[in-house]
Amino acid sequence: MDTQQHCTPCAEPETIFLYSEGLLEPTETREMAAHLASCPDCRERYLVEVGLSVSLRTLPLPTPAAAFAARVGERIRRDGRSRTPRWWWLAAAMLALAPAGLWLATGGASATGAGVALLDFVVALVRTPLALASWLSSPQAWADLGAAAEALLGAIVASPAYLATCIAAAVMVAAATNTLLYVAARRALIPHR
Amino acid sequence: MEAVLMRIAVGRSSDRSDQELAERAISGDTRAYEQLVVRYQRLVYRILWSRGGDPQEIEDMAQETFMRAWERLGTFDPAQPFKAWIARVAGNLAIDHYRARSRRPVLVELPDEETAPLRAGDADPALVAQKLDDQRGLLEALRQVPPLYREALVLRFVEDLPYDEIATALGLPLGSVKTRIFRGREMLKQRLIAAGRETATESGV
Repeated sequence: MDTQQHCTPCAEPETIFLYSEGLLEPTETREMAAHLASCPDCRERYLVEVGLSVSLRTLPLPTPAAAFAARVGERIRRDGRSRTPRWWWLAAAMLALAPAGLWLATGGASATGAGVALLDFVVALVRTPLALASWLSSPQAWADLGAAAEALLGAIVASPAYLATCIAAAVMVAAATNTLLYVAARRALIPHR
Repeated sequence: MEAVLMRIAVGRSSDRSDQELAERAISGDTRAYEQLVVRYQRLVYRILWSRGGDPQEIEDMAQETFMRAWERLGTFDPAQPFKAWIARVAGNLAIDHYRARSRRPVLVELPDEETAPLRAGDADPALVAQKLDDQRGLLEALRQVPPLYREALVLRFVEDLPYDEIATALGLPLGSVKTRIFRGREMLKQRLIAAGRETATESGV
């Protein structure tokens, strides 16, 4: 090709593309502009790059129906798939896990009646809200919980390090359960199609 | 300037910024969210088209994209571009969709970036130039480009997203986006020329 003699060496195709997109550094941009002015081959490539970008912009790709957005809006309102703020899940999990934290703590403090009572409490909690209510309605349960709290308090007074351990354990369990609750709730609320 | 201020004062939702609409949507305003859907429904459609959906799938998945985005608005920072975020939600939904169905190859895997059958600059510019006015041919060639390259091309050239937003939408570093788009274009040019040759051969026989 006789044009070849005017452009030695030709620019890399990728550099020509980057130039057509305005992605070169200022110095490179000036160099490329100068090169294009003197190299017909590279100029042809450059014009093809620009032409391709322009042609792509006008391609008739699929577009949504006019009522699409309204349908989405209706579906959100109808399905009641409203967002539950994440703090709600956190609060719920913390609340649910407060007894578990207490149980963890007393498990270390006292392996006797109080610990067993709290284990009952957790089992009731896991089973049904009804079981929980029925368990809480017995005076013995409250007495046991009181004993557990007392044991915990005793341990805390005896050792601040113990308190720190209890809090860390409770927070870890709470975080894990929060995640599980969140995932379970999402799965329940958003069925996969 | 005054006209702009007037429009803001009147406060028609069509004049509100994405950020304002997103903030309202986050606080539960479904009408504000609908406005965002109006703005980005076409973008989402085209991303899903790039990923290989048929028309009915595109409609269903586009609805699902906006439902999923509504659910996840709590994780969206309204100061960031909504456009790039919703593009990412759509792309991820397409991946989940096809993975769950396993009907088609999972589209997250790119052909090896380094060894893909592409010799950059192969396409003869003169031949490409002849094909650029043939919209149908260009569309067909684009269809034959592998989905993830096609998606990058659509985001950049059909939907006019800036490179940094494409990087966010695809979860890629900026440099990889440029490479992917360049390679996508080279594949597109080669297919454009090849399609032209096939048509010529068919009509010639």
